[in-house]
Amino acid sequence: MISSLGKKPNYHILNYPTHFQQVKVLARTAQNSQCALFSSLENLRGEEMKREIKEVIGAALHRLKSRGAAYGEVRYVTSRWERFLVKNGVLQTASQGEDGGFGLRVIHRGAWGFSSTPGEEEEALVRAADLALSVAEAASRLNREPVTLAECYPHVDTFQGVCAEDPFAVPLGEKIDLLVRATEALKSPQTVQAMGVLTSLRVDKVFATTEGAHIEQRFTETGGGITCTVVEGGEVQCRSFPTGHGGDFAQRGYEFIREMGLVEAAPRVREEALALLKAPPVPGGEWDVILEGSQMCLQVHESCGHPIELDRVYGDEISLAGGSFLTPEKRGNFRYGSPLVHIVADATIPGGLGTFGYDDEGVRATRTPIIKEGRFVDYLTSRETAARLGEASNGCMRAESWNRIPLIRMVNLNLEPGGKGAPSLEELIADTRRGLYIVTNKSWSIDDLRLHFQFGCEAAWEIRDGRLGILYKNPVYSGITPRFWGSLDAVCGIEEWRMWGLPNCGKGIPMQTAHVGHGAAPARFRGVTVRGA
Amino acid sequence: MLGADRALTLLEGILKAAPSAVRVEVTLRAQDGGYTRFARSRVHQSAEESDARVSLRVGLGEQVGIASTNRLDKSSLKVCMEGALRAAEASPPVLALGPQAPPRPIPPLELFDEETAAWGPLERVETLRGIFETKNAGPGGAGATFAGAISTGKEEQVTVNSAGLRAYLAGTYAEVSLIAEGEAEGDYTPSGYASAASRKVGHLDLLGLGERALKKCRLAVHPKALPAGVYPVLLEPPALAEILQWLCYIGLGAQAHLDGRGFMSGRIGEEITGTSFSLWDDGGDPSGFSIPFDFEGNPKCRVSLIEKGVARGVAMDSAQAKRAGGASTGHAVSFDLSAESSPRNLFVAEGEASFEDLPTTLDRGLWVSRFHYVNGYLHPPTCLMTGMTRDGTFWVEDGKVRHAVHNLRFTQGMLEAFRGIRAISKERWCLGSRGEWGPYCVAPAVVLDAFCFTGGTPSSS
Repeated sequence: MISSLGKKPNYHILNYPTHFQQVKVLARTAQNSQCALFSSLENLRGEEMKREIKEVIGAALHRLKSRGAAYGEVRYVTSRWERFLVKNGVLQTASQGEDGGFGLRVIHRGAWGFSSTPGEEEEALVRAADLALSVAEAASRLNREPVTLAECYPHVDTFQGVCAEDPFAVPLGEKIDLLVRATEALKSPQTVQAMGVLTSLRVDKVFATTEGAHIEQRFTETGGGITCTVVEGGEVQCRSFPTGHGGDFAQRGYEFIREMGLVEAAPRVREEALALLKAPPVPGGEWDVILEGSQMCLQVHESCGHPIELDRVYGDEISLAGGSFLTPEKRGNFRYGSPLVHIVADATIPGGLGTFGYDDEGVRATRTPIIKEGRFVDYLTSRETAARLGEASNGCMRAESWNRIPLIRMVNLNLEPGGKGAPSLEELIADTRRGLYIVTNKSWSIDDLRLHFQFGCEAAWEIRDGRLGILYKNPVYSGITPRFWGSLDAVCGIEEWRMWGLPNCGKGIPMQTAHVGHGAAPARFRGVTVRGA
Repeated sequence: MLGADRALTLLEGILKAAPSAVRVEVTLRAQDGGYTRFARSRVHQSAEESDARVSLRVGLGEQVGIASTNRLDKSSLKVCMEGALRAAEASPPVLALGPQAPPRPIPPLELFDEETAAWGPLERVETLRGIFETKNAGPGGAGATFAGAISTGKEEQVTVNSAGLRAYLAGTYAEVSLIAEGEAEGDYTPSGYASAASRKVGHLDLLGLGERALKKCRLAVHPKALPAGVYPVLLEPPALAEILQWLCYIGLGAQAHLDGRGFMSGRIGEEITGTSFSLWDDGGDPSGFSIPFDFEGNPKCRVSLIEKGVARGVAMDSAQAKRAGGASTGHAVSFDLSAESSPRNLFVAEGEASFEDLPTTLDRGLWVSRFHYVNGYLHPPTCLMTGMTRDGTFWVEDGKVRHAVHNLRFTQGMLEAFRGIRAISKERWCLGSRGEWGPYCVAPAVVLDAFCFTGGTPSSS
């Protein structure tokens, strides 16, 4: 059942950004045979194929309607990727792949049903439509309350993310050479793993519904990083750049990789890793802590991003990922943190890993305030969960691929930079009498309500009388989400603020990996519990 | 499902299309199944899916290219092969490519079950109806609801190579995870957990699992706070399995071990845990989730990882075996030479105690049903891990459960913890991994002398 909530398209969201435009970037196409491992969708299939896809989608939607589905949607998703990994100056992997298929989601007899097929023929789609209906029919035997969706304007539109330099058009040799040079510079007698990785991804999506929506989108992502692991006398330490766990990612072209400066950063990364072998463990106790930007990114992700997913709040993810302490009565009145905490969910920022034109329910991308001056004001929602609040969705449903059901996922969840007069990192350190500057995530853990977290990081420098001093190894800090954010007393300004990309946010059964972004600047927290691992 | 003849014909076609001097390995993995997810005793996601993916690795001497596709038509497979060849041609030597898996007989394992293959959304839903009605089976169940997932389906793997290997398997799977949830008590909701996996759905006592989860949920009401500290602890199989999963990530695969980063690096032959602890991987044991060969087509060997407390070995693919100067143990997870091979079919040796008697080994201690969000990257050399308890944590005194406790965070070196094994149950549960990334695990419950809890979950207010 589709609810009749609201009669207007969902333009009610605040501050609809002026920079939300279809970004028209003429990317170089993958014509060079040395570069193009797989032909791109349009090269391989052309406009005729696109028309055929549109026709089979139309046939599937017609089938759903004619068999009485209350709602139906078809997603056609194709993707291609490349991955290069070099270890100790030697190539380990030059791999690439492609993937494609259709996902069909229906509401029938009051229940959801989903089926997927890699086949592109009309018969395969019609079979998948029938299967989705029978899946829903089975579920309806058990469900007493019918599914209700918030209304959504049926957009007909296209969107293309930013990509100045097509990563698939860059010669393989150039990419591999970059990693070879970077990892060579990480080598030392103690280095056991000098690793560099580069990844490129292109996703094309067609989305259409029985309500009349038809949306075509293209996204290009690139990412990578380097890690230096050193061993001496049974001690193992590592430093990573720009961040850990495979590096940093963005919805941009190869220009993002060029701007990283992997080769230039490598000697510093190596020296810091070696220095950690001799460093003492961080002294345990209560410290004033400055977290650098990439660790702030993960702090926001785990302790702010997941608890605001409304499907978690309603218990849909309890069996694996857990629930949330942010129960509905807290919305609008819960003190999440200090007045300096401003968090927005913004799917409209060009280049963010969580940026899109429309989510996987056809809801147009929004910029939604989540925490205003430390007060919790909104959730990330879907059409189904928003209907329970009597509102329109703010567009956060995404599926990992064509064969997965969309779930509520973070978009770009950003801690806004400090306002006028906010300090630079240098000024923030200078303003700290005794503290720790903690950098680069190594481990993460948080309870099933997203309250009690613990993060381990690669390194920490003591701050004494406003200056960086001793390097410590294995810093681990922990806290309780609202108390921790309540101790925030400074966020660096816009000059220090940047987007980070996480390509590995896990959720759901089967596990789905989402690509999400987080804007963050270094920030200071008072009286944080720290221990050495 | 393609079936053996069609699948082998398809892959042989790929081999024939390759230039004659090129080394080619091809693996197809196909899945045809579905899952039903539920929460608050209501189905909220239900799906049927089918897909098949071809991965291929080509070698031009030591230049290697890898490509994959889920488009199985001739022209797409040709594009895939051309992509792999171009990648190889443009690449410097990888140095690490091991030998191709030779042709050999595949061990006969009963992987396919007709009943499981026939299950669809209706069977899953009707089973759930029975589980949901468990709440009316006894006192104290009123208000309890169930959340979780049931997955059932069929899968195929076919691996061929230019050395003559032709290997095919078809299997079925059934896996369930269940949480029973009671009435919320502020930020705390009492809950109980049960899970199981098998190749045969008939081997899963689905209603019994529902009852087990509900029984635990009833016990978990009215928790008390417990201060941080070191306590003896009883870990149920799901809690132990999550620890073992992280041991796989940080040191039971050959990559970390050979780099010197793993917790067993340089310690093979050394006693690293208590002598009652033995851990091995065995893809051929039908009491687990058996599978006869790995992604490269090498047979899955039984690998003793830790035997009576002594570090014995690690899981290897062909590239790591070449580096180590040995043979593949059959643990390749992809053609990617950078991929960490890992145990996928873990077994922990059973003990002599019955599960019911395990609490009697605790004068004072904690009973942990399950962990949440464990992370083992804190300090891999000592297997220092952190995580939270969930779905039923209890205080035991004089061998009896006295009350539930609020969830606790542990931060504990696991090798140290396993040096103090007090008891191991003779019962073991086969636990799955389809919803996550870990190995299948046949694990008992264990009682450990000391486990360090570093904090608890308080109220959010």
